[in-house]
Amino acid sequence: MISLPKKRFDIWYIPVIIVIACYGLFLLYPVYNVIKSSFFNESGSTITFNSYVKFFTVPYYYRALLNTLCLGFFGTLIILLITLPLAYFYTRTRIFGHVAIGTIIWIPYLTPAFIGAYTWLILFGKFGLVTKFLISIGFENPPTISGLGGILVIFVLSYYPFGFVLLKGAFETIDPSLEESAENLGSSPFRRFWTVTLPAATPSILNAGLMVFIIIIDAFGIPAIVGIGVPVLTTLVYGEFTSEIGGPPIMAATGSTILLSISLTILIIQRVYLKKRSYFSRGVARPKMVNPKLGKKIILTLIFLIVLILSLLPIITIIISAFTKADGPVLRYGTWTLENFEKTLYSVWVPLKTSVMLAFGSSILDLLLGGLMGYVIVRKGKLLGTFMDAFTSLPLGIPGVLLGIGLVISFSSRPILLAGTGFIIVIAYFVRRLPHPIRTVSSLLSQINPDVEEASVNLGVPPIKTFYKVTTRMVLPGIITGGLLAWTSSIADLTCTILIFSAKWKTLTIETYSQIRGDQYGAASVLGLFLMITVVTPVFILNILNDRKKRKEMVEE
Amino acid sequence: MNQVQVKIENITKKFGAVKAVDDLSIDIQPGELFTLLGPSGCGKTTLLRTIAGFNYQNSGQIFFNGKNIDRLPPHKRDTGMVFQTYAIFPFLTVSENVAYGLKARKIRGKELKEKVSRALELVRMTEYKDRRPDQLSGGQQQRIAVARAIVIEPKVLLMDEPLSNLDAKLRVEMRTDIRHLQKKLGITMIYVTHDQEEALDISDRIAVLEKGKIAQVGTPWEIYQRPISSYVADFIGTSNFSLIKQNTISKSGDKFKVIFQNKSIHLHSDLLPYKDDVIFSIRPEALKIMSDDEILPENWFSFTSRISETTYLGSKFVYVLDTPMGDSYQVTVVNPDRDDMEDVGKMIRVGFSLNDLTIFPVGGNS
Repeated sequence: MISLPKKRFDIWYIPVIIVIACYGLFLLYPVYNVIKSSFFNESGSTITFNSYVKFFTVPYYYRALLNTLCLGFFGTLIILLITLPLAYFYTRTRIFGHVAIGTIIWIPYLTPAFIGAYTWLILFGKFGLVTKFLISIGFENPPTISGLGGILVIFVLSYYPFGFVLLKGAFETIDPSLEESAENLGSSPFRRFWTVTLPAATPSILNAGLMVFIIIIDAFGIPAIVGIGVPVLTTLVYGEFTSEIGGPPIMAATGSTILLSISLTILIIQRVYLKKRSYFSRGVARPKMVNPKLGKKIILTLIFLIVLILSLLPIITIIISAFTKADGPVLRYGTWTLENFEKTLYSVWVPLKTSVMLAFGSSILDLLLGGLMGYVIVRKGKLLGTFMDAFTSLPLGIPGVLLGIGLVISFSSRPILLAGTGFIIVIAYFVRRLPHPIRTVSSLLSQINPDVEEASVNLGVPPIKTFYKVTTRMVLPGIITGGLLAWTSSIADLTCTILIFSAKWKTLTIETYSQIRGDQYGAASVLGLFLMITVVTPVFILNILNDRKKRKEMVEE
Repeated sequence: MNQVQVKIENITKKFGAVKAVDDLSIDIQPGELFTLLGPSGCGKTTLLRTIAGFNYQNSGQIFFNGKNIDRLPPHKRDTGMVFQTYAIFPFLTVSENVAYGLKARKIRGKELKEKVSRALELVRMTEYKDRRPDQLSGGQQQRIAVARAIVIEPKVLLMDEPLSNLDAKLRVEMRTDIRHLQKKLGITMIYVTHDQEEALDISDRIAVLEKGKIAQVGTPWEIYQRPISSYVADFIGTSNFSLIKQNTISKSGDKFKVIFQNKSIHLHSDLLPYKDDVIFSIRPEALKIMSDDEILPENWFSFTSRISETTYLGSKFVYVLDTPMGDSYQVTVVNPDRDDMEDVGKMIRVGFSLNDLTIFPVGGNS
C-alpha cells in the first residue's frame, strides 16, 4: 500500500480564524465584561447579586423591564395579527398594482426607525399637525402618542413591513400541492386556510414573531424619542450608563444583561425549536394566485392602499417638514422655505461623510467575510458548517446597547485603547451586521449544486481560482443583497452608535437624534432627509441596474 | 489521438465505516467505452469521482497509461467529466462554457475559436453558440456538457449518469450519439449508469457492481447471456429462477439427472460443478410456447404450466405462469398475433434450449 498524501492546512481556515478572532475580541469579550461588571460591587472586588436584587425591587428599574416585555409581546402580537391577513391575501390574490404595492410597503423598513418615530411626533405630538387640526375642529383632548400605547402604535407602524415581508415569504414557500390536495379532498377555501395553510406556515409565523420581538426589545430610537416617561430597558441602560460615568456602570450592565438573557433565549428557541419544524417546499412551485371578483379586488386594493399611505406618510412628512419654516419644535406648515437647508447644510457634510465612511468600511468587510463564511458554512463539511452557522449568528441575539457598553468598558484603557476612534464604530457595525451577508450567501449557495464548481475544477481550474471565477459569480446576488442590508442597517444604526461615538466621529444618526432631542425640528428634518437618502440610494441604484440587466437580456432574446 | 489505458488497483473508499468501494480492481483498455453498472449505492459514482480526484481513496492506486495519478489534484488529472446535473455555468454563454477548460489550458485566440466551434459542431449545437444556458432544453444542455468535456481532449472521459434527467426517447437518441462520438474520437470513456438497457446498448464492456465490489465484468453479451450470479442475472433484464435442491440431483453415467418441474432433465457435468443447492435461471424470451403435439428438438426441455396472469405491452405479450415446482415464470412472446394470446387459467406448454439455461450456486459466486 502506498502512503497517501496528508491533507494540507486548508486555506479556508484563515477566514474562519479571522471571524472567530473578531467575534472573540469584539463581541464575546465585551459581552463578558458587561456581564462580569453586573456581578461585582462598586470597587470591583467582590461578587454580589446586589445589583439584581436592586433591579427587581426598585420600581424605577423593574418597570423598564415590564414595559419592554409588554411592548415586545403586544407589539409582536399586533404586527402578526395585521400582517397575517395582508401577507396571505398578497400571496394568494391579485390586486391592482400588485408589484408596486409590494415594493413600496418596504419603505418604512428601510427608513431608520427613529426617523419614523420622529415624523409621527411631528404629526401627532404636542405641536403636531394632526393634533392641532383636531383641536381646531373642537377636540378638547385629542389622542396623543405619548405613553405606552403611543410607543406601541409607533412600533407597529415602524416594524409591520418587516413582519409582512417575513410572512409573505412564509406563505410563498408552502408547497402548493399541499393546498391543492386539501382542495381536491373537498375542503372549502376557509377550511383549507385553517387546516392546511396556517398549520404549514406556523413555524415561519412563529419565527417571524420571534424576530419582530427581538427587534422591538432591542430598539432604542423609538422609545427614546416618543417614550419620555415610559422607560424601557434600552433607554434605561443608556440613561444609567451616561449618568454612571466615573464609577463602574453596574446598573447599566445589569439592565443590559437582563435584556441579553431575553434575546438570547429567543434566539435559542428559534434555532433549536423552529429549525426542525419547517415545511418549506424545496421545489420552485409558487402558490396559485387567484384573480378575485372586481368588488373584492377593489376592497383588497383599498386596504393595501391605506397600509401604503401609512408606509409613505413618514417620508412625505419629512420632505414637507424639511421645506417648512420651523421655530424650534413648531413647524409652520404652509410657509415654504429653504431656510432649514441654508442653516443646516454646513453641518450636514461632516456627519454625512462620517456615516458613509463608517458604513461603507464595515459593509465591505461584511460582504467579504460574509461571502467567505457563507461558503464555509455550506461547502466545508457538516461539522464546521453547523458550528460556524450557529456561532456567526450570535450577534443577532446581542442587544446593541449591551455591545456598545461592552466596547466602551473593554477598550477604554491600554493596551487596546480604541474607545472614541472610528475603528471601534466600524468594528461594531461589522460584527453586528455580519449575519446578514452570511445568511443571504449561504441560503443562495445551498441551492446551487456543487457539481458546477466541480466541473470547473475538472476542466483544469484550481479550487481557489474556481472559487472566485465560478462560486463568487453565482452567489454575487447574495453578496450584494447581504452587503446592502449591512449598509442600510449600519448607516441607520442609533442603538449601538449612541454609546460608542465621539465628538470626532459623529454620525448622521447621532446628529439627527440630537437635533430632535434639542427640539430643532427644522434641522432635524433636513438631516433626517439626508439620512434617508443615504440609506435608500444604494437600494435604488441596485434596482435600476437589475432592471437594465433584465431589459438587456430581453432584447438579446 | 493518444489513447489512454486506465488501471484501477485495489481501490477502497470508505465513508465513515461504510465501504463505498471495496478493494476493487479493473483494467480499462485504450479507447474502450467501459460502463460501471449497478443500483444506487453500489459505489459506481464513488469510483468515478475517485478517478476524477473528487474523492480520495483510502487505499489502492489508479494509473493512466501506467503512470500513477494518485498524487495529482483533480484539476491536474486531465479528465473530462459530464455530470448528471450537466453543471453548465449559468452565467456563461454556450461557447464560453465550452471555452472554459481551454482557457484554463492557456489556449487563446484563433486556436480557441476553432476548437470551440469544432466541439460545438460535433454535438450539433453550433447555432446555439451565443445562447445562455437557461434558454436551452435539458438535451441541449447535455450536449454542451459533452462538448465542454471533449474539447479539452482529456485523457479519459467520465460520464456520471449523464442521461438520467432526460425523457425516455431523448435518452435513447443521446446514448447513440455519445457512442458514435466516443468511437469517432477514439477516447477512453468510463460511463456510470443504473440503466441496464443503456449499459447494454453503448458499452464495449460492462462491470456490474454490487456493494462496492465487482459482481461481473464482461461484454454486454456475456453479462446478459452468461451472468455468473443470480444478482447479475436479476439486475440485467428479467430472469426466471428455480431453486434446485442438492438431493434432487443424482449422477447417471457421465451426466447428472436433475428433477426439474417434476420431470427429469439430463445435464452435462460441466454445467454442474457445484456441490450445493443451485439456482436455474432462464430468460423470459428464451422460453417458447409450444403446442402439445410439437416434437421437442434435440437438447431441449419442456413442461406444462397454468397461466396466472397476462400483460399486453404492444411489442410483446407477457405470460406469468405457475410452474409445477411452484415458481412464478415469465414468458415473453415478441410481436404477438391475436391467436398467441391465451387466457388466464389455461394450461400451456413451454420449452427452452438447454443452451439458454444458466446455473448458479445458491448465494452468489463466492
